[in-house]
Amino acid sequence: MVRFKNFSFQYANSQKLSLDNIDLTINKGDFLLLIGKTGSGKSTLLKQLKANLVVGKSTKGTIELNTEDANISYLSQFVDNQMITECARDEFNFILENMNYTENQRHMRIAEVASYFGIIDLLDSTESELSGGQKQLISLAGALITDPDILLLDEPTSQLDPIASEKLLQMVHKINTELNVTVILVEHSLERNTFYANRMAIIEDGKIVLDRGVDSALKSIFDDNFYRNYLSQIDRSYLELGLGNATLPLNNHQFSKILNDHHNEITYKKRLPKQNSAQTVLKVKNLSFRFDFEAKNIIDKVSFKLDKGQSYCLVGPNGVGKSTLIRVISQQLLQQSGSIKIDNKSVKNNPDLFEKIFILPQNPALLFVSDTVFGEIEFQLQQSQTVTESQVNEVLNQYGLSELKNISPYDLSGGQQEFLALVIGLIKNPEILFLDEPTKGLDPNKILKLNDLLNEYLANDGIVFANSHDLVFATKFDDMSMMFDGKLNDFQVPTEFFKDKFFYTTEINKASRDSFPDALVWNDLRNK
Amino acid sequence: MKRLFFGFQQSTNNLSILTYLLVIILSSLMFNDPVIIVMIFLSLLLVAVFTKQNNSRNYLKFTVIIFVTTILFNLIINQRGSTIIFQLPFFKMTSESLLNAVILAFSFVNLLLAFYIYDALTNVKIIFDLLSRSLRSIAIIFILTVKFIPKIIDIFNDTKFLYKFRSNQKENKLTKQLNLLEIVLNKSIANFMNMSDVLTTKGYGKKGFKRHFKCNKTDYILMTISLLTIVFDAMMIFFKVGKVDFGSSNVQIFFGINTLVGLMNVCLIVMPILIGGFQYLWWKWYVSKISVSNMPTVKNFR
Repeated sequence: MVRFKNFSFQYANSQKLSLDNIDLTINKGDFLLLIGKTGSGKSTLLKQLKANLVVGKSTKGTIELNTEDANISYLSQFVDNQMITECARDEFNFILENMNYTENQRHMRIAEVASYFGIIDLLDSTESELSGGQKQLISLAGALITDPDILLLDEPTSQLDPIASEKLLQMVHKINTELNVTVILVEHSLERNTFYANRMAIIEDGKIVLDRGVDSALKSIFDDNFYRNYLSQIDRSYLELGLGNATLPLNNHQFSKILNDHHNEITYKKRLPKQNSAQTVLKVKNLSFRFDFEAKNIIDKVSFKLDKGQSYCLVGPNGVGKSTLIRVISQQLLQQSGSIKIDNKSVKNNPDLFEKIFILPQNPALLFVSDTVFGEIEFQLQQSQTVTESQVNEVLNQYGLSELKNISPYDLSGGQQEFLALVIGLIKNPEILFLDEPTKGLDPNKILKLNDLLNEYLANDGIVFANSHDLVFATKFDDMSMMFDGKLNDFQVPTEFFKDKFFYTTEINKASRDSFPDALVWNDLRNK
Repeated sequence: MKRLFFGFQQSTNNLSILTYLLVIILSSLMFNDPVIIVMIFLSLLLVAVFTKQNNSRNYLKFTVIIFVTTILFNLIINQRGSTIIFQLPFFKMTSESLLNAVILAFSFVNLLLAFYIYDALTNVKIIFDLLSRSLRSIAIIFILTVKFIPKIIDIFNDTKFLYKFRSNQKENKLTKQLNLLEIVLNKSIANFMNMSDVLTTKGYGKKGFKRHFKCNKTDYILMTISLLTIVFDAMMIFFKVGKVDFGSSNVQIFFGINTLVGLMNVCLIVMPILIGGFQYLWWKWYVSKISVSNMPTVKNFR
């Protein structure tokens, strides 16, 4: 279906090859999972198959495509602003009209696709009325409505909660198996998607370094210190514990059975409780907020406090008010009732608030103020001292950003933008770091790096308050809570928090709850 | 009101709605006779309430501000007339200058209300369908602009707020504003590029497709009345009916043929309510009586 033959590609604004000598064949009906670290060229490779999505030139080789451009559909990682028109029905009509479908054909297509995706009730909803998962489902339906031969997916689940992500991936799998549509899925982790793919490839610095069947690829990357962090928690635990040679990926049921069979050989490594400094910096009391007079409270009498040196993570489905809570605390939105005090002073009209906290928004690009990565770091350093070029270079080096220093922050990949914004926050060194989905778009090694950076910051009495859909990342926090219906549960340590969760918990916890109920991540289980 | 609005939207197509909208915008621009513009104002206000949107309260507040500001501004720059109502050193308010100011304020407000109704009744696809029949490049610019104006406002507000968390240095207000504009421009360009990618993935730019509109009786009625009204209005303007010598001190309120012009325009402007009302009554008295059922499908479609 697709063949890259010694293909090299260079972006118009870059001196470096973004794809280097790519040799890759994708057959009809394949479900190829393409992974790689942030900025490795995954998205660039994907976009080569859709004309006009990349601005640059092929410097060597060819791409053989056994289908027309119109038969290739692309779905981006961005959930918002993907609809040109007001509602899904108009959007589908817009796509079909562009492809010269007659009115009768359009009507039939919309009927078919809406039934297949179960979105009949959403056809007339506007973008603002849809949740992130629904928007992405509509975008997927839009990509499928023209009956494509190839479906290109660029990190489609990166902005969705775990349940919405699973639903979307199941739908992609259904499309692949029932309709024989070739799927190329670019992802930055392997948590659930390995179940649906039949092939896996790794791209590194623009080169394909591995291209195998899923089982063989997963076992092979376990031997690689860098890529083993990409493995799903279940597969990682299974391989780390050396429990046999079963076909990967393992589902929770299979892993649970293996754990029960080897129960005597494995032990749970108890997590050490962290001492709380008990020095409260932020106090929120009976905080309520709603967007409209008639609307119900999206934040409903929420109370909590944040102590020095502690990290807090808020989990919950999309659209329950996690981001709104951060926006209210930071006074971007003003609460209707309740109080927020930082260092015992109300945040209302308090200019110190902006010095004492830092917000990493869901869209990190909103924070950028300069034309280059170098400029961004320089700007932040200049807020506290006069800096020289060499000092800026030193900081860039420290955070591994030297290679990107002359690139515009807006040209970075989603993960790179997220990481740069976080580095900016750490340079500012505020009393509290508010992070809205900080792992979005980051590859597993970057997430580990993020954990290290946050631990360093916490050790210096900083406070981290994050919203996250990434439950494995959430286990690294001192305290966790779940938000739903505007309410916030009491903060608990992760082991306590996940103990009574049935659906909203980590895969390791689901699989090992019979034998090791406190285990949350792969390294909680060890050989005796 | 919501039911009437729904009935109107259900029984008219995009082409007739757009014709109606263009004509009411022109009507609110053409006349400055006080009787006509007040009649137009009242009917536009009625339709604006009828097409109530989420942001209507803010929009109406904004309209009141514009109304008051226009009156004050005109009273200051135009102090002609002999019937003094109120006098201060360097300022004189006469009944003539007040009438002029009110006329201009109503004209502005009428235009704002006409655009409010336009915004409430139209959607991106209507304009795209019409423009793309022959002017595809304008259609694309239109789509991008319509999508981007609210987006740029959001970017500006978010950036302005988040900038406070990055910069703690006191900057000159003007310099800060200019910096902010430059940052917002950079971000907007990045967003613009993203939108252009979205259009590419949706197949935009393929061979042109001629959209066809199927018109029913209601569409023909709405389009005919719209066109008749605009022709009538143009003739009235040609015969200098409905126009007063604006800015002069001899503007007067009188009732004559101008009332007929006003009535004609009122009839056109309230057409959505009439059509929606007729549809609703038709449903209430006829159709609903033959579709009484509790089947799930009937419930869903009721």
